[in-house]
Amino acid sequence: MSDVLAFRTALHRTNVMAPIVSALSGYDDGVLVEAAGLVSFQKYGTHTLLPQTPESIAMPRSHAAMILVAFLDEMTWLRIGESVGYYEDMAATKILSASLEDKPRVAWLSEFDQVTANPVGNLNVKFGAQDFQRELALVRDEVTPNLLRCFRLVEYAGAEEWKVEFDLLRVLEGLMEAEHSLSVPPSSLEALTWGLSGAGLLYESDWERRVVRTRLLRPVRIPNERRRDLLSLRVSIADSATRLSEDQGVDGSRRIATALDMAVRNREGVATWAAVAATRLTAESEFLGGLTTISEGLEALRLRQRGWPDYE
Amino acid sequence: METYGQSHTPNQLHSPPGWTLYVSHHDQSVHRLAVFVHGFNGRAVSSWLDFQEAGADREWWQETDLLFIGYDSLKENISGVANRIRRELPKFFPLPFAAAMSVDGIRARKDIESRYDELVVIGHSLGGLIVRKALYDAAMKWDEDGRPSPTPALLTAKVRLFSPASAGFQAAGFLGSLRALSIWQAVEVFLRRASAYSDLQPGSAILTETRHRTEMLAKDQGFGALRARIVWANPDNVVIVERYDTDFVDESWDGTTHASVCKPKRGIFEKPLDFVETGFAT
Repeated sequence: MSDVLAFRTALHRTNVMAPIVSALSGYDDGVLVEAAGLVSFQKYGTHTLLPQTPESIAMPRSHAAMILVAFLDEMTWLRIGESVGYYEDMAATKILSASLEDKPRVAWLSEFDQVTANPVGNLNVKFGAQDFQRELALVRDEVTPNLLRCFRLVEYAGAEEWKVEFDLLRVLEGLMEAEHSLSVPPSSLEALTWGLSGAGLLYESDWERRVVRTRLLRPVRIPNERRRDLLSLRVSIADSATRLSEDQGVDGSRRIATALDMAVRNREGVATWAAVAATRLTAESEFLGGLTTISEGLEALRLRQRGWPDYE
Repeated sequence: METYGQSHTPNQLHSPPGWTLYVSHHDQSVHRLAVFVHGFNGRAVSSWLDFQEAGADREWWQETDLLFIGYDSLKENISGVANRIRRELPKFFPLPFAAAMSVDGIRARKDIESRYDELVVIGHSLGGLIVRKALYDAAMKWDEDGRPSPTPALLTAKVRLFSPASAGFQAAGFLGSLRALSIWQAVEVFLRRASAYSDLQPGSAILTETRHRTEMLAKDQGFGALRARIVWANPDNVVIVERYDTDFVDESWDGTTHASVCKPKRGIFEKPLDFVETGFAT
């Protein structure tokens, strides 16, 4: 059996952690400093401030932030996996040190992981290797490029990029309202799917029932302006969708049938999230501006960790 | 006996992207490959998770490596996915896919070189149609090439289909795709008039062509794999329940839906396991 655990541990290192560390080591230090700041704030709900920051944020920062999220989430999976006997003992430590061995530029990731460690979630005593494998399989399947793009835009993108992308989605909503047999070239639609199927998991209540809660899996408890705006626009798009038909003269009963189908399917996702969102708008925090080095960021986080509420 | 968590390990493959091989750690004899093709709105692995869990204590599943075919049902067309399966499958059968069987010199099990002696292909919904397309193209290509030895892997397969979309959506237009997908996916599929939308409209060219060619070829000796064994959900409000003339007599399971027909539960609903193992749905 030990070979099985060793196989899994080695597989994670080569297939998952090594590419993540390698990708991060390709960024400039300045970008990584900013990205680390963004990711750290997110844990405490300070992302509510992001839409209010006026500066235009360069895109590399948000991409690097997403890779940092992946890094932290994978460390969480490793820790849980080793605790339930799915990976070797000390798998997280072994894998991280092996992955950082030839990447001295990002050696700070080890400390960053300790300072900003993810919450493990509400694991109960019955959670074992089988449950772990199931949860992990679900995540591997469901965290799609579209979801990641949506998450990046909502959480980390600069104001300018967000405005451009969100406005495109607004244009789609207007066109759908005006033209019920609208068709969109695949290449153009590709730029919009982050806000359609890509955003689904951000608002679906099933996301909240997950046993393991990493950053990508955590419940949406602290909505920001972007999440609210996106939800509102999605409600309008869903409304327009009830009238979609290739046949311009679609009769009333077909439209009603479509609307009913959609209402039944949609009721939980939208309603649940909206209710949660309305009651959780009081998060307060501050933006850690002016950091120039990773060590400054880590120190600042240590200090603030004591005083900040944990919204997880 | 091994627990499920220890019996297989998922290996997400870099190539083809989206495919995942669940490698068995069974040390006695792993002699079978089961290939799973999901349907609308499905995911490579999570669509079939219940099979792995419900079958954990069964020797049949422990002796089987599981290959999950991932594809984007909202974007990709049926031919593209079917052709990829036909093109890539020889890398996985009859010899185990070596790149997934060991890492850093650590082997998934003692014997990672022996050939499989059995291939089972399972499709659900749109996945069923994709499997049918891959099968008849494999048959036509092999025939065109003069039927050289060995026989293509696909043509040796045992085929099991759960509510295949062979006859298309039950409802036409946007409503049909809405019943098969979530609202957001249905909107995307409609706006781009994707394959999953246009090809699944009853009477579409690909549905007609797939049926015609399959029925023509399935009568031929050597193409027995084209005769599918099918079980339908009852009620199934997503796809039209209609088999081909050359298929085996089909079965229906009362009280199941289009989605739940391929969701076994250990000790409660094990018929899907039996169907995959034996081909018999009763």
